[in-house]
Order: sequence, then structure tokens, then C-alpha cells
Amino acid sequence: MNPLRRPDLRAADGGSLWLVPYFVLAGFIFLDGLPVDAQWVSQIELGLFLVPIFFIAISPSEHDFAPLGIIAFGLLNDVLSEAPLGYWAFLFSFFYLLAMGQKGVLQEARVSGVWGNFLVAILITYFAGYLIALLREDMAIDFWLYLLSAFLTALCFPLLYLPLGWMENQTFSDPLRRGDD
Amino acid sequence: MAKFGASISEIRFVSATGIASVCVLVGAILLFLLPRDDPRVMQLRQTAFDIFLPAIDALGRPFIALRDTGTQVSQLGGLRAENDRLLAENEALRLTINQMTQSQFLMQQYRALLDLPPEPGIELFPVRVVADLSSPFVKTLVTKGGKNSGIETGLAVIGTNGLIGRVISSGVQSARILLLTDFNSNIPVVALASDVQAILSGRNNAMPELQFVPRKAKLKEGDLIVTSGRGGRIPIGLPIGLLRLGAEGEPPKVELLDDVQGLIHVRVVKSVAVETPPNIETSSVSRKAKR
Amino acid sequence: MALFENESGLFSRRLFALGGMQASLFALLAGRLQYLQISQSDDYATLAEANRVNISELSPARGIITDRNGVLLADNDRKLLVELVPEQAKDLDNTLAELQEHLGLSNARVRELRRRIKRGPSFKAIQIAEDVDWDAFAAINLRLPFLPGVSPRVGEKRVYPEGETLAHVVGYVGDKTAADLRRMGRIVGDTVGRSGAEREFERDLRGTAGVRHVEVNARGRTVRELETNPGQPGQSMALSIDVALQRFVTERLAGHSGSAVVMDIESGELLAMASVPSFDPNDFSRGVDARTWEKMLVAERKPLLNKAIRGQYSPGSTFKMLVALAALEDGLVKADDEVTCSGVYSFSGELFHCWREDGHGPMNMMQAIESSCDTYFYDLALKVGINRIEAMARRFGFGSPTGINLMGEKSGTVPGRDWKRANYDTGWRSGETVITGIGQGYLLTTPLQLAVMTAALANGGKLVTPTLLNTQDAPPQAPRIGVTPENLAVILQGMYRAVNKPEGTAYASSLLIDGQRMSGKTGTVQVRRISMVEREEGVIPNSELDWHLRDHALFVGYVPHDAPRYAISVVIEHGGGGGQVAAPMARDIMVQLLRSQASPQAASSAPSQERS
Repeated sequence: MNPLRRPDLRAADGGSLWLVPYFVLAGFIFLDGLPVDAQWVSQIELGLFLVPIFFIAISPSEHDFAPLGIIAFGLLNDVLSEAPLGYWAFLFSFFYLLAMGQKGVLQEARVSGVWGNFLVAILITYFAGYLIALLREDMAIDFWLYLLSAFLTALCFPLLYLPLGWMENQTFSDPLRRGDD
Repeated sequence: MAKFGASISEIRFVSATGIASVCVLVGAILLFLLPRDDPRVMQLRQTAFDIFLPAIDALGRPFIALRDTGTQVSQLGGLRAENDRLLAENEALRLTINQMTQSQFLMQQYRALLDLPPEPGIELFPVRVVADLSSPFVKTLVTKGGKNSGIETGLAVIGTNGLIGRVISSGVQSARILLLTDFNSNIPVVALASDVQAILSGRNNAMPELQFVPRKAKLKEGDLIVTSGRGGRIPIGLPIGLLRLGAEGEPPKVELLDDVQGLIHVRVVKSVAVETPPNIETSSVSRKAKR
Repeated sequence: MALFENESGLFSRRLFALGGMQASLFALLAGRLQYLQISQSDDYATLAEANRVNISELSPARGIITDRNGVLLADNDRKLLVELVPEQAKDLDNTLAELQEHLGLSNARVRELRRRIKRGPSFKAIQIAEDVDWDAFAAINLRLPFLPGVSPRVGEKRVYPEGETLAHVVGYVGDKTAADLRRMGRIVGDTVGRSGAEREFERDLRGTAGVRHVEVNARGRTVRELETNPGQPGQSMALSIDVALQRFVTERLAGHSGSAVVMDIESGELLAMASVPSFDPNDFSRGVDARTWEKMLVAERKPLLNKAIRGQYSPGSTFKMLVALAALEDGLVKADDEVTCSGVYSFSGELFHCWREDGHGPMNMMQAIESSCDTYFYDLALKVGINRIEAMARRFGFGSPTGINLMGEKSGTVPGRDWKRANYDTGWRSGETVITGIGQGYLLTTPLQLAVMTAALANGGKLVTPTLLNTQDAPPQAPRIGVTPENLAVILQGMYRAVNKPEGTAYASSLLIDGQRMSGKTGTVQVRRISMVEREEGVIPNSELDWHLRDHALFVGYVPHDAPRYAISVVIEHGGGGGQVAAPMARDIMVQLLRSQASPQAASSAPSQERS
């Protein structure tokens, strides 16, 4: 069985573990402001918070109102990171929508498939971010560094996604809940 | 069962998609509705920092500790050489401090002779940086410590070697510092050797530019740029950087003394009234009102 | 449903294919974008130009004006401005309040700004304050993060380092008006020469406009500057004026109302042209308010008027040389012919008085010039006749503009039979010839015309055109008046004696330096009628009269007496006697001039001359 197979995260069983990705998301938003030593790093917009969003998006959970939480976190990121209000709110929601579209397809996918999908989604999202920056006069983005940011984030994807998936697998390894067997 | 479950999940999927699409739309509307430099938005950011500061601080500590450890480990290697260097530097600094104390005393005497009110002293107030929000959009730092620590808007902030920016907003327990390199930063400065007044403007890169330099001014490469104290709350004489003349037709740039990247500890500069030296009367000369 | 079966390898492959297609589509898009944005930017730049590039005109730097030695008379300096774009100001009231505080704006000014903001388009920048001092400018810069929409700028202003000294000659600039546009066509920039050299040489000083291309975003806000062509700066102009001499002249005339002109008799270059009282053109450059302007206009001593070219006075005794020359040229009298002056001359039932009540006794021509005997010239005028006097006056440039490169020059008046008929519709009376003989009556000249006349006498009879420009290499050829050298010599001899002989009316002002002497002629012009009663009781001296009733004091002269180079004319309104007031001034000025010619250092350390 695919260790990455997404179990149902319904809150009825397992308590409030469905909140974990949200906490990770919040954590990354807060950590975004970590003082780092190198100038070039500050130019990179690592989107690590997109990983838990991806996780939430493709989980077969019943939380239809998850998008509302996502956009709220997006606004929080805007406020804390000095980006224009609505920038990350829009990009989070956009990314979520993209990921949601793949939900069905990714249920039985292999690691590489999910990863590849994440890469594509993140590239499209970053590209959208770049287009927005072009339209606004108060944002100066270096195209190549931005692209690099997207690839670096994608590179970090398995590091974050696997632990999340494993944790939930351990909790939900109830034979009755083994997907659609 | 599977069939029913599937259709329900389909319906749910559709409504979730609907909600998500609405969110995207809302995000887009917000994005083009509110411009970034609205004072209300700034207030909102300050309040948000006040609320989330404990979480941000707590989360960041282990990473900063890790980084410090790493720095310390790498420094262990050259410990002895570093020690020698520091001792020598210390000697030189002691000498300089003596000279400066003498000069300061003389200055006080002259001021008293001229019936000038005593020069305000400077108090340095250390604060810890909690977040570095430097991005392609903006160059600000967030500190732990706000109005509760006496940090007010407009105060100058120095790093290790020189001025790095000033406080742009202060909440109850956190404050935001606008770095010199930010687009919105414009500080009145003076080039020491050539005595030329100008405005230092950030350009969102490592070297801010000197603007409004008088046409016939003769600038010298490598000249020390310090705050001129004109027009505001930033005290005179805070070192900023070295002048770097650009190509013909380009504005001169300043190489900052302080690397604003990766600062953890900075100091806020507060002006305090200095006690008048004993037995010297100073008449009450009305100071020029702040225009 | 088969779609959701989980063991078909086909499915994974399909997913991969889907993902792969998405990825390649994106790569294609990215590649195309890179191609468009980066590689082909130049081509598409032109297409985008119209939307994204703003073109504006740049005013060129105005040419500077210097004196003949390169001393700055008019220069450009920066002025600091603060502008506001209303639509970008989030809280207009707050912003205006802060601006008012830092810039010290009056409440009236703020009200006016609010009106302009309401009326105008909100995306257009409004100037809040100009010529801001550095402290206020610095304060605004510091507060910029809290003042959206406010932008500090730098502009140009004109400065006049010499201030009052050369206000009339250099002139000043002001904002362009509709009348200027009609007169000169398109003007780039806001300021235009209003008077003096600034106006006269406007075309050369202005230069040609430059062009500035800035990139703007979709909302029209400037993002960055593209190409800039600064245009051609204006030409620098060197005037003939010697500023050190001009300063001296202005100081020497201080406290009076009048003017003085110092001219090179061969080239016509003006080394000094002073008119007092004067004004500070820097005040005008900053913009003068209506009240101050009004005050200046109506002031009794007319500081705004350049009296050297716009003041018209009777020449008085300084005209006598031309009467004498007219007589000699037509062979009517000889220089040795004598006329006896008894203090009174009777003609046609009228009595004409000489300034010396008891008379001069027998006078020949040279003596008459030396002592400025009125009786001699009453008599001579009748012998010569008004027609010949009129003709000679015109030949020496009276009655028409000298042609100096300054606007507003007056022509003066040369009366005659035709003139009288045309202006008064009556015939000429012989009594009028009599008083014309001593330079009074309808005769009017400007101080510049007097200087030109003196130069023509001194340079052998050439009517030079005065100029403000440094002619340097090639002084233009001046037309000859055509008077006989021998006759001219008689006149010059008389002028020499007037200054250097004891009987001369300007004897007190004789002797200059290094053996060089000045020749000249005094003039004292009555501006009021003296009644018979007053004559009997004793003419009231100038010192006891109100200022506006006193005589004008005049003097014309040239140095050096034996090899003339420079001519001078001094006219002091209501100054009193020409010999007492104007002549000493002329002497001091000429001494200063000769000293500075001999050694420039000595001239600058010359002791101050006594004022009369």
C-alpha cells in the first residue's frame, strides 16, 4: 500500500489532528521573518507555507470551509510580512484552488507524482505572483530569483510532506479506514 | 456504498471549489483595493505584531540559538588571534575615549561661555530583533520592545557600527524599524570632510543614494557620511557610511558601515537632557522652534 | 468509477502525462515570456512606449551673465520645492496640517491650496512651497513615509550676487505672462527676462529645451527615468561693465537720486551705468508681493527707473559746447570775439539773468565755457539761431535714442520751429532761442545722451553707439559727425579750463592722479521759476528749498585731458550746483577708474572719497 495514501482526516476519529497542518502553516508564516545573515537570502521568497496548504487541499477531508481558513492565513502573512494586503491572500487561495483540482487525481499517486504536481502548482502560483508584481508599482521582483525560490520550495517539499503524511498514517491506521479498498 | 460516498464527495468537492474560487476572487479584489502605504494598514500591521510577538519570538529562538552556536563554533578556531586583535583594538579605543571625553568637556565649556543650552546627551537602548522583513518589497525589522520600553516613533536605530534606520511605528510591546535601504527612507545627512548637506534615500538595494546634493558641491570619495541632525529627531553625528562616487551622471551612493542583514541586536538612540556642569550659569536662550 | 481504481499503472502514467503536459505548457509560457521580456524587449518596447512612457520638456540651464572680467552678475542656483499630488494623499487634512507646520505656511496660503486642490485634476502635482530652506526640507524628507503624495523636488532660481548695484543693467527674470508668449512664441520653462540685460539677451540666455522620458505604470505614476536629453544650456554673456567701478559709482552716488554713465569713447562700451536709488533684483526673483511693488512704483525717487536712459533732463550749461560749436562751424563768430557780461541780458523787453549776478565782464568763447557765462551764450544763441542749434544738437545724437542694447530708452527732446508747430500749434519765439542757448527751455536729454555727446567731442567727432556688450576685438566703426578739428579744439580747450583753471566752475574738482587731468563742463538746471521779487530780495539758495524745488546738478567730462579715453556724465536730481555736487563725484569716479587701470590691486584698496 502506498504509505502516502491519504486517509480520511475526519475529526470524528483521532481528535483534532486535522489542525496540525494549520499549525505548521502558522509556524512557517511566523518563521518567515527570521533574521538571516546573507543579503541574497532576503531576496528569496521561500514559500514553505505552501506545503501544508497543499497537504490540506488534497486531503479528502470534509472541511469545505478550509478555503476560508486559508485566505485568513494569507491575510495574516500579508500583515506580518509587509506584503501588500491581499497579495498572499490571493496567492494562497489560488494555490489552494489549483491543488484542489488535483485532489482526485492524486489520491493514488506515487510520491514522485505528488511532488511533480506540487512543483507545477507552485510554479504557476509564483508566476501569478510575478504578474501581480509587474502590475503594481511598489514591488520590485527579480524574475530569476523568484523562479529560484519556487524551485527551492519544491525541493523542500518531501522534507515536510512526508512527516505530515506519516504522522497521520500512524494515527489513522485503522483497517476499517483503509481508503476505498 | 461506494457509489453514494463518491457522489457525496463529488458534491462536497464542488462546493469546496466554489468557496475556494470565491476566496481567490476576494483575494484579488483586496489586492487591488488597498494600497500599501495607507496609515490604517500600518496601524493594523503594528497591532498584529503586538498580538503575535510572543509566538514569533518563541518560534525564532531555537533557530537563532542554533545560528549563534554555529557562529561560536566557527569562531573557536581563531579564538586566540581574535583575542589578540581585540586587546589591541581595546587599547586604541581607550585612547580615543580619553580624547573624546576631553573634547566633550571643552565643548561644554564653550557652550556655557556662549550661553547656549547644554547639548543633549545620547542614550543607547538595546533591543532584540525578532523578525527581518526584508524582501523585494520592503526593508524593515521588527523588534521586541515597544512603547513599554520607551521606544517611540521617529527614534534613530544603530547597529554595531552605525545608523541602520529609524523607528517607523511602535506598538505596546513591539516596534518596526524602517531600514536606511528602504525606498521610503529619506534621512538628512552631511558629508563630514566636504561639509555638504544632502538627503540619503534608500533604493531597496544595499547602497542608498545621496539626493539633493548642491550642484557645485565637491564630494570626496570615501568621505564619512553622518546624520546632520537637521529637521527632526535624529541626533547629529551618527555615523552612517562611506561615500562612493558613481559614474558620471549617477547620484553618489553610500556604502553603509553596518551590514543590515542578519542583525539580532540593535540599539535605539534616545536623546536625554544632560545635567548642566556645576557653577556655570546658562541663560535661557529660546531654541529655534521645530519647523 | 474506473477512474478511481487504484492498481492501474495506466492511471499513474496518465497522471504523469497530465503533469508533464502542464509542466511543459508552463515551460513554454515561461520561455515565451522570457523571450518577450528579456530578449525582445527592445522591439516590444516601442509598442509599449506609448502606454508606458511619459515625455516632458526640460528647461535648459539659463546662461550666466558676467562683467567684463568674468565676475558673476547673474547666476543660477537651486531652489528646493515641495509638491503634492492630491490623489495620493490619503488623509488630506492631516497632510496639509503637517506641511503647514513644517513649512510655516500661513492660514491664507493653506486655504488657497485647498481651493486649488478642489479645482484642479487630482493626479496633477501642486506646488506647496518653493525656495524652502534646508531645515524645513529635511524635516519633510524625514516625514515622507507618513506623507504619501508629497514629493520634495529641486528647481532652479536666478540669483544676482551684486544685488542693487547692477539691478537696472542686469535686470531680473519673472514668471512668463500671456503677453510674453505672444511676443516670443513658445517659451520653455517658467521664467523670462523682464528687464535689463536679462530681457535684452533673452534668446541667447535661454538655450534650447531638453526632453525627459520617464516610465510610468498603468496608473500613470512614474516608475523610473529612462533617457534624458538635457538640451542646450543658454549662452553666457559678458557685459562691458566693470563691476568694481560700478560698485564705486553706486556708493559714490548713494543718498542721492540720479545716475552716472562711464563710457569708452572709441568703442562705446559702458564701463559703468548706475542709477540710484536702486532695488534688489533678488527680491523680484523670489516673487514680490503686490504691496511692495506698489510702494516701489510710487516712491518719490523712483528706484525702479533706470535714470541713465529714462531720465530726461534739461542739459543746462553742458549744452553750451554745442551752441559754441554750431557758431564756429558756420563761421558766425570767431573764438576770440568778446561779449561783455553784466549779469543781465535784455532782449525783446525781457530780462535774462546770468548766474553771476554782478556779471563776468568781457568774455571770449573759451572763457565763457570756462566760467559758464550765461550772457555770452544768450547772445551767441541769437546769433546762431534755433535752426542751427537744432541741427547741431541732432548731429550729436540728441532727440533720438542712442541705440544702446537696453529697452525703454527715451529720446529726449530737441526743440525747433517745426517741433513747436507740431506740438504746440504756435510759432517759435526768439526768446525761446535765448534760453535754449544755455540748455534750458524745451530741451531734454538723458544722461546717456550726454555721455555720448561728450565722447563725440573727445574722440574727434565720432558718434559712437553705446553698448553693454564686451566688443573686445572689433569695435564697430562710428560715423563721423563732420566738425572741423580746429573748432573742436577750441571747445576742448574751454572744457579743460572749466576744470583746471581757477575761474573754472569745476576747479574744485581738478587734478586727478599721475599728472592726468580731467576736462569737462558743469551744469546747473533750474526747475522752478524765480520771480522778480525773489531776485530783488535775493535768490533762495538750494539748501533752503524743498528737495523737489532744487536745481539739478550735472557734469560731463573725459579723461585723460590730453589723450582722451573715457567719458563720463553725472546727473543728480535736485542735487544743487553742478560744480559743487556733480563735478566732485565725476572726479572721484575718474580717479578710481584711472587707478584701477594702472594697477588693479591699488584700485581695490583705494581710500573712500569724501562726499560733497
